[in-house]
Amino acid sequence: MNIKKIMHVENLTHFYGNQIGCKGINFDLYKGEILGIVGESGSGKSTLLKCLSGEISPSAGKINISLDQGGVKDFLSLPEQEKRQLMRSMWGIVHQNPRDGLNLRISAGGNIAERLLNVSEKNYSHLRNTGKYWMEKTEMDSDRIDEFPIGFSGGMQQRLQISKILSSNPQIVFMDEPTGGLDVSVQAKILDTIKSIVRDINVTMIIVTHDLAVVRFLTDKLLVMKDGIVVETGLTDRVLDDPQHSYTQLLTSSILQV
Amino acid sequence: MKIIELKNVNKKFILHNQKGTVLNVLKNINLEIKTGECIALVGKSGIGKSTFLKMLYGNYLPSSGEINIYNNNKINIVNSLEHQIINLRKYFIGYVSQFLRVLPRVPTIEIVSDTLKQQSLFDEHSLIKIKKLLSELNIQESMWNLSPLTFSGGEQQRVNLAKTLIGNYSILLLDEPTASLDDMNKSIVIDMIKSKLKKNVTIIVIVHDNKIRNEICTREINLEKYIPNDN
Repeated sequence: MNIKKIMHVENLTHFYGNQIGCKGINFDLYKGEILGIVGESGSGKSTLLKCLSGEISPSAGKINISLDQGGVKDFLSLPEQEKRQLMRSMWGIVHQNPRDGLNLRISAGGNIAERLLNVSEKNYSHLRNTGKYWMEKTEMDSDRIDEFPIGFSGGMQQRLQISKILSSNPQIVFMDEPTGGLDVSVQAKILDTIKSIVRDINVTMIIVTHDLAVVRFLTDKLLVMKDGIVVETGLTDRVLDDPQHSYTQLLTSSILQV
Repeated sequence: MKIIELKNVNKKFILHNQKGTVLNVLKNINLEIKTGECIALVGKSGIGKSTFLKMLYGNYLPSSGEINIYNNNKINIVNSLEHQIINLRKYFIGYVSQFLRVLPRVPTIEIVSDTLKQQSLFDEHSLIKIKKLLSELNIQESMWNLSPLTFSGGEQQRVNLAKTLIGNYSILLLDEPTASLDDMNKSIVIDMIKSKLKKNVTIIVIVHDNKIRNEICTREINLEKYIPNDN
């Protein structure tokens, strides 16, 4: 069985002035894998995610990507326009706050269609059907397709944002604390939704979170970050159940039992 | 034909935040397990039976040595890539832990279905098969659409077993599968294990009950001989 390597990251480093954002990051991501990045706030996990998703340009290092079309590309040296196009169509970014990823002044269906229009889908009824399909897939009521997301609960908005991103069939999805702002009661259902969708469509995903329960249920492998560097990496349950590095041991032994 | 091979496997735990305490658990394990064997892991409590099982599943990392799994080709799970181990777990090695661990609010029947979906074996006959298995394990129909997190210990253990036994695995790792079951449910589970053995599934099991061990196991591996001398 040969699974395609979709992303290769080498010595990725980013400084904010003299401050380390992240330093010397290396990993490979294969098609269909879900990678979790964990660490406390200030550990550099969001900086790393932003470097990977193209939101900031890292100070040094290399990101090779290999998508379905076009062979291996050196992401960081792509012309700006090509980078933008790639991010719009092949990337999907799910923000912690759904309001950052949605346009609250257009309808739920409009939000999904907006994204699809970027990948040159123009047929109105097809757009609408795709919108309904994804709303149902994320367990929303598709009759609410014409409503404005401003009237949705936080959990519903997050579902809509996830629908919007996944509808365009992105090759890599980046999620920043996808359940961060939600009530515990909504979290589990959203995690279950994400998990079953992931299995259905075999998407590749990178998730940043500080919640170890989220990574256990959602991710295949982990990067544990501290002070901008990766201190431990491996299969998610191996890292959590048999942590080797002192910081990972501290992290996993600090969870309160309910 | 050998299906599992351990070469010079050592396992120690270093507790960095507890004064760097080093726990040497298992040392110099060299052994082979053949297809279709049913191995009982024995040794006193705390000796490392669960640790042994977890190393075979890739859940614990040996401090040194190789653990080779023979699928179509040889895979050393100690140094394989994550997706290779995940693939092995999806189709080849099933593991039943002592305690059920599932997402809250997901119904029992979906938890069991999930195994078949992961193995791409879920079809129109699957639900009948799943319901039959749950009934055989004495999980009442009224509970199928409930999350197992509120079930009793014995019921949770049976859901945990159903979740793995429904799958089509070549190796099963069972950590005290009958520990919290009454006699009737014990014998049901034993029969299920026997029927897996008839299908030439390789089983490694931790079980304290001598009677059960004699009934299903073809060989014992006593972990006493792998205790490091310096302990």
